[in-house]
This record gives sequence, structure tokens and C-alpha cells, in this order.
Amino acid sequence: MTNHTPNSTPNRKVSIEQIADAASGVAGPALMAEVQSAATRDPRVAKLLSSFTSAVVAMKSDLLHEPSAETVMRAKALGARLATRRAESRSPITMLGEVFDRAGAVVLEWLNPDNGIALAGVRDDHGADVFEAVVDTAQITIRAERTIAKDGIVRMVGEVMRGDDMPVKAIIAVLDVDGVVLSTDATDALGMFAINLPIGSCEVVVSARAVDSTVHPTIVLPLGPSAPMRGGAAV
Amino acid sequence: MSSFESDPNLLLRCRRGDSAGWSLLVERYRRLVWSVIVKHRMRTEEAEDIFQHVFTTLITNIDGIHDENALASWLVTTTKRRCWRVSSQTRQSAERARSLDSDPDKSMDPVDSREDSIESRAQLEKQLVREGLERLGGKCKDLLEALFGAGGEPNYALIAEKIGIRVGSIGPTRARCLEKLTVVLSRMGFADAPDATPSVGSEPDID
Repeated sequence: MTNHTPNSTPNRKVSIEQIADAASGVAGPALMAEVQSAATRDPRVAKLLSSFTSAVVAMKSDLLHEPSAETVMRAKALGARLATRRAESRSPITMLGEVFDRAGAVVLEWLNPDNGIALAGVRDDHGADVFEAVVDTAQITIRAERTIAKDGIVRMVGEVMRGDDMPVKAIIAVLDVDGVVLSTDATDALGMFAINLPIGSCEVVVSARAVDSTVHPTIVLPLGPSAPMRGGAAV
Repeated sequence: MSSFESDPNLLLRCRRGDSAGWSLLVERYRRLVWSVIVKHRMRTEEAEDIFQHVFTTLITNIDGIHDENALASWLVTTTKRRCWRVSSQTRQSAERARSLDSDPDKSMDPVDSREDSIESRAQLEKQLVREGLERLGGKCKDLLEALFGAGGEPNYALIAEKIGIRVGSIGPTRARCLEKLTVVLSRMGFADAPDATPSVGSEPDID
């Protein structure tokens, strides 16, 4: 604690250091009274004291507003991926990818307009557990939710539906980062599926069938800025 | 003063796919967004989700931001709306069994309330102080952050060693740095800051 005024006098001028001490909370009672007295006499002192105090309070309160480093890191990583993709072409596929990116997944692909659809995703954040994408051309909606069961196994549960809310036949596969299929599932009569996810990054590919049961070839879009295109990832 | 990158410039870098620019932007506004989330008393997992949602909404809608100098306001508004929506969904989920007399979205939405407006202004002013510190840069920024941003009673000996000044210089340097900061804040339009001209020694009641 500092006190620049051994003998306090009623109309003594105050220095800018004393005003700063008062605003910083390090002034003793005598100095505090003197600065406040000066502030009541002179609006400029009052203004300076007020602005110093406001700045100090704002700086101190920042401690309460610090997100965790992990939270910041995830926002940066996901945003950086999206920012990079922005520089690429703005194709419908890319935009569909952004939809899933926003939900915490990186998507993927969708090639044929006649009901063939596939998507793949990397789930790397635990914040966004629900996502939905509507593929207009094929009139297909995919809704999915990642859930963590009591046994610790992470599953993705969802549905693949047509625009008229009729279920769509589809096969879902989980691929590791090397493209190896880890598990598969098929939608049931209600268009629903549930599939286990590994810990860490993975791709989820959905291959939907057209009304005539044709499965169209699919392509998985690159997950990262430098990943090469991969074709024929239909399952 | 340090070289401070403006928001429009950062946004331009993000639009070009510059991930370093994006990282800087998140750093600059992380506390502003978090402060809004904290104010809405969101649960930790919800808070982290909202934080990420706000920033990814920014990057995916970055072409739609026309007033690039109002980015802070945009972030505050977007964060508040997301908090309300998540709160509403949480409440709906918890109370699904009961019928609600009022519209939860409406009752949660304090967009027009005076209290909320004041709170938003306070959050934006805090952001101005953060930016003011960034613009100040150098030893002044380091000293003020060490004095006021570390929590608890500042350890002058450690601070002096870290900043590279004598312990006895901390008081005078603090005053000069606070004054410089308020000049910067004045230029940025901070409501509490005095006029941009330094006032030391020129006023009747200031030595």
C-alpha cells in the first residue's frame, strides 16, 4: 500500500500518480480522501479517476471471463478448418460440409443428384452433439446425435429420411483415418441407425439408395486442407 | 504503441482462408464471448458448445458482416441469442411433461430490457479496454496486465523482475501507463475516458 500524503490538506493538488494509486486500490485512507476531495472540486480529476477506475475494474474482471484453453483451441481448430475451406470452391458439397462442420463434424460427400448420398465426419469436439443436414436435390434429411453411453462407448444415433418423412434405406459405415471400415449399420424400417464410434478422429459415411434400390458411387471429400480427394468410398 | 491489426483487416484475412488471422480473431474476442455466456449462467458443457457455435457461425457467415467495425456488437448479439436458445431448449426438455402457460422463448428474451442493454454496453467497454491494452503494447501492457489481470495482491518484486524495471518505478510507471491507456481508450470512444489530450500538470487540481 502506498500513501503519498503524509499530511493531508483540504485543497492540496493531487498528482496523476496519486490518482492512479487511488484507482488501483493501493492508496491509503488519507490519500484516498484527498483524491476524492480533489475530484469533487475539479471535474478533470473526477474524470481521470473515473476512467482509471473503469479501466482497472475491466482488467481485473477479465479473470472471470477466461474460457478454458481447450475450448479456445477447439474453436480455433474448427474455425481454421472452415476458413481454409472457404478459400476453396463454394460448391454445394462444400456448403454441405460446412453444415456438418458447424455441428462438429466434417462432411462429406454427395455426388449423384438421384438419391445417392454419403457423408463422412470427424467428431473432434464434445460440445456439439446434434447435427442435421438437408440435401435438397435428393430430398433427403440426415439427423444424427452422438451419445456417450454409461459403458463409455460413444455411439452415433440418427435417421435418414426423405423430404416427405418417409424412411430411406441407407448403409452407414465408420472409417478410421486410414479409410479402414471399423463398423457398419443399416437403417431400419423407420430409417434409423445406431453405430459405435471409436475414440478420436473417424469418418462416417452414409450411402443412401435410390427408390429403385440403386446404390450410387460416392466420393469422400478431403477432411483437411491438404488431404487428397478420395473416390469410390461407397460401402 | 504496438502495431494493432484492425478488425476489418482480420476479417479480410479470415475470408481469404488465413487460419493465423482466424486464431488472432478468436484470441481477441474470446473473453467478450465468454463473458456473455457466463452472464447467462450456462452449464460448463453448454458454455463450451455455445462458444464454439458462435465462432463457427462467424466464420461461416463472415461474408454477411457488413459493418466490420461492429464485430464486437455482432458477437455479443449472436452469443446472447444462442444462450437464449439453448436455455429455452434445456427448459423445454426439463419441463416437457408440463404445459407452459407462456412462450418460453418470449419469456427468456430480454432483448429490449434496459438492464440487458446496460450489461451489453459494459461488456463492450471491457472489450475496448482489452483492445486498448493490445494497442498500447510493450511494457505498459505487460505491467498493467501483471498488476490487474493476474488476480490477488500483485507481487511487486516479481513484477519488477518480469517487466525489467525497479520496484520503486512501478507506481510512477503505472500512472503513466494508465494515462496512456485512457488516451487510447478515448480515441476508441470509451465512454469513461477523458479527452485525448494528456492532462498531467496542466489542470488546477492536478500536480
